[in-house]
Amino acid sequence: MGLRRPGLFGPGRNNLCKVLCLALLVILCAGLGLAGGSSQVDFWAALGELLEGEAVSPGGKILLYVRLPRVFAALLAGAALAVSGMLIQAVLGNPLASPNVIGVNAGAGFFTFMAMALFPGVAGAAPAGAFFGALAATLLVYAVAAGAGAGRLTIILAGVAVSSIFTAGINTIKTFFPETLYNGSTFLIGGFSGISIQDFSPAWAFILAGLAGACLLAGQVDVLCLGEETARSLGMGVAQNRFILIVIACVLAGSAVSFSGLLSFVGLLAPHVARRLFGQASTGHRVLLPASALLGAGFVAFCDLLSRVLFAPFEIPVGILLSFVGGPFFLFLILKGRQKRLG
Amino acid sequence: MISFHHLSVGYSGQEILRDIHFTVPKGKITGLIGPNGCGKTTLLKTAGGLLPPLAGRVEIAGKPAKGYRPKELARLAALLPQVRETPGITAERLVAHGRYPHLSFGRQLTQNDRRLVAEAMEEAGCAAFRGRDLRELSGGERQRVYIAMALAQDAQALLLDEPTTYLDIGQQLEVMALLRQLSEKGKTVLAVLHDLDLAFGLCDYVGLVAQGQLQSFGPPARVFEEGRAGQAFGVRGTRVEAGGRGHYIFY
Repeated sequence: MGLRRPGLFGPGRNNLCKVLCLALLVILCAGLGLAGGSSQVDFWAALGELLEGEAVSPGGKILLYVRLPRVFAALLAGAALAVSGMLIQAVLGNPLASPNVIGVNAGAGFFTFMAMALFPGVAGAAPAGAFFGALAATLLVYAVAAGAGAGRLTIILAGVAVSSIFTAGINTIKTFFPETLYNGSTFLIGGFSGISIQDFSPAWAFILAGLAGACLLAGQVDVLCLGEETARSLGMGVAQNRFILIVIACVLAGSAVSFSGLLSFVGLLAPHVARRLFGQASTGHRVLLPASALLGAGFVAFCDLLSRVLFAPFEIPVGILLSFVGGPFFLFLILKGRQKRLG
Repeated sequence: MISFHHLSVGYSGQEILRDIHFTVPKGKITGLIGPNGCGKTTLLKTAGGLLPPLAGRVEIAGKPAKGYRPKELARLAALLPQVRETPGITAERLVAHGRYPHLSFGRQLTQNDRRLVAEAMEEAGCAAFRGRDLRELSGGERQRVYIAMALAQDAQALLLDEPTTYLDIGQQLEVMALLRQLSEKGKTVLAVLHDLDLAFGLCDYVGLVAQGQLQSFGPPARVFEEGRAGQAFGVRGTRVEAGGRGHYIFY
């Protein structure tokens, strides 16, 4: 056994290095995302122009109005979904859980379609629908589960039931308002095509607040992971903490989904990679949560770049790429994990 | 330290035990026995503040348990639930979580906390595997780590739910010896035990719970003489002398 003794709760030096490396990786992905794209832009000239204060050339305008919002949107959505997934996995004690387990995807989807059907063409209606739909579905799931004792399994079961109702709702709207199909399908796949700053404000503020809240509560997440009985015997208010964390997870996922569409896979992938990278047993959530945020941000930004350049000038929605790139990688992790179950 | 006053316990209005009235002797090991489903665990959880009493009250350190906040209670009495799911965490980090009731929201461990964690691990005999993943440890080692966590809570009383279940006989005796050491240092131990020989042979006091009531409470020899233990389980019992202590065989 190595002599490495990570700090009991604080980030050990080794972990700090890894987090810094991840941060560099995210900056690299973001930089590539700004420099690359379907149209040829002299990146340095455009950047110099922006730094001087005004975008006049087409290149500068592309950088400012197309790529910058896009990269930021990808980073924010990736970080938010990754942290949301990790919180939900910890709270429900289930490594398979992701935001869709507590009804986020179905709720957001239903209200988005509703907004598209009832207020077609109204700017902001669909994103607001997604955000409040996610929140409403989660609160409904929690209320039902709370009526049955708010155990972890009841939350999952209630989530499955509520999700199936909202999914039926989505399909009903699709049937009666076929015009929602086109925009709706973009939402269901998920992507950042043509996104502008307006599309993700005020969602960015909710995301930053949610990320801060999650990191503040990292210690409570650690104790919750010991199991409900142990956490309660240590004097923790399990029900309150569980509820707060679920709401934070829902706000994060709902905000992200409101402008990115349903990119749910990040919420499963990034937390797993973070746990693999740092060692779940020896690392607390004070490190795991930021690490997961960085991994999610970098991964989504990278896939978004791929989605723009792979078949340029055509673009494939990033939701598709996330699954095509992330899926095999996840399978690889599963196979590799078989030899080292406890890693 | 801990006393029960005409206490009724149960879940959501369904009474399981009624009129429980006794004091857990300070600095001693008290074994709680009874047939499956008789309410031993429910009583222990109520004592530890995890369940509200249906009637009567639990007093801890001279004050009704209801008057304490959960963290205050956890500083007075450390409850060790019967653990079935094992979290993926190193032994040392688990033990450090025992300091949770002492930490405020920011929860940074101080030098003193770290010292207490190290001492608790020494005392429970698990310092050797501090860096190991809990899931890699044997049942007995794991139980030691959990007991170390309870010790790190620095509470006067230890409430243990079946600390010897799933352990082989050697490990069972080791855990009981550890509890003996702790009681000699002044800890009050209340343990739900399944093995009647461990309860009668190695505890200072035995409480027998059956048919919704405390049937008997006192030193093991006296409780055994009364013969209610055998009745409660529908068996007969006998006492034999071996290896310097009395052994209790039920058949």
